[in-house]
Amino acid sequence: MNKLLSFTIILLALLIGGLGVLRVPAIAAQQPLLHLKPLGDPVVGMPFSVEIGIESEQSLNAYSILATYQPEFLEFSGASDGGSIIDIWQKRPELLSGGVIGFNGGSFKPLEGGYGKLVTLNFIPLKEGTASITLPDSIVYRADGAGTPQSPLPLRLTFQIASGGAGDRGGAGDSIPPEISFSEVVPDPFEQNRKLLSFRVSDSGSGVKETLVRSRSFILWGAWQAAENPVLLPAMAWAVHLRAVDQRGNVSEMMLYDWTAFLRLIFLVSILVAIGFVARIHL
Amino acid sequence: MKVLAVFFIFLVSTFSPFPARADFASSTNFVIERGVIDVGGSGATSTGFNLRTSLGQQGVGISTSTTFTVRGGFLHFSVPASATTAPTSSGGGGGGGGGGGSGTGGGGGGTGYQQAPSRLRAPGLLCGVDFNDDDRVDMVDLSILLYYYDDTESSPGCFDIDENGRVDFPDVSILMFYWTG
Repeated sequence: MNKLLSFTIILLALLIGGLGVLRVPAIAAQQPLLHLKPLGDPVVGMPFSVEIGIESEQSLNAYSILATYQPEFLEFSGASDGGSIIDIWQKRPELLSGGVIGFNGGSFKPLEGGYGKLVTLNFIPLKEGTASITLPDSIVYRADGAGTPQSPLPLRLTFQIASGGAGDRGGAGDSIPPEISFSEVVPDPFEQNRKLLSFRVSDSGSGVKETLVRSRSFILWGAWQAAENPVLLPAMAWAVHLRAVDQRGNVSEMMLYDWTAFLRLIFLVSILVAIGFVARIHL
Repeated sequence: MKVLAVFFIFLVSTFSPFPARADFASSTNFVIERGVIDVGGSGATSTGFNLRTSLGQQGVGISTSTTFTVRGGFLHFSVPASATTAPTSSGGGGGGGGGGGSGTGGGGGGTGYQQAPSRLRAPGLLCGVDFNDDDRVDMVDLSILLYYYDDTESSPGCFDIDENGRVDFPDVSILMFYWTG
């Protein structure tokens, strides 16, 4: 009887374990982890940077990040994308509202395990005290062909701003201009007679401050306009001038020509001249 | 001692390190990791043919009505020349081989289908830029496109937006031009 009871108990134990009723659920793959790394100690009036990074066991290829800070303690002075795993920016780091910075972008090669730097945010501390920078709401996307979103846990970095004298707000010199690694006029496949300027600018030093574009449709150049990739060009534009400026004022420029549009313009002008000539003969 | 033995056996069987495995089917040429079998359809007839039975994904194609368009099928790589007459199905459910063109049966969506804005879906081109079909062009679509970026091993298909034979930077730019967020 005792043997039968023991056997039954053992059998039941095996059954329960085998059925997995009390099996510990498979531990979910680790969530992506955001990182906030201060680069130096914050001192009033001196440039202070914080690096935002991501660590993930799973492959990621797109990132949408919001960062908040206290405007009474910090002044946002720009962002540097040197060394960033983000190759294409849908929205470069920009001030969305008081104390809120947002950026979106993606990577051509996914982050496959380990740590990747996203961006360095640059600030000027304004006064002494305890300040913080928070990443309250971020979404990253898995490189799985479906864009599966994942939400890393919010993160806060708290630090002490020390008093200091007036310093050089310009910081270390960056003499290398931005790199325009790609620029091309591409036709819009969805709308005939529409063309886009596709371009990619990066700066490994102080970061891209702005990109400007102007075009020439007839003789004169249009006005410079701030632009992000891509730019809708006027239908008759035959020349495009692209200018990239980094945070230190270094400039890179590129000229592109649409010779088809230029020939079309020449043809049109020739027709007009011919009409005028014929009209003059007959008058 | 016996209690300890039982407890030990229980622990081992409960916390076994061997992971569960999903069913998969394999051949010398391929592996199906997550097989999907769609609902089968029953017989259907038309003036020109007789469909006895069917199983699997819906047929690819576009069927139109005065009030809606149905893009039946799983993956669209081509646009057929004309809509075909939908068979009269005597059974319910989707998966019948002819696709639910006219809205009868479970088909490809039937009534209530909303056509996405034309700049997201472009009839005559392979696909639009809304790759996940949620009527938005956002980070998910960017992530999907980047997954196929510079992929030389497989056909670019839908993701080669400008149809130059590869998924490259201009495709990313075009997607961002139609960004809705």
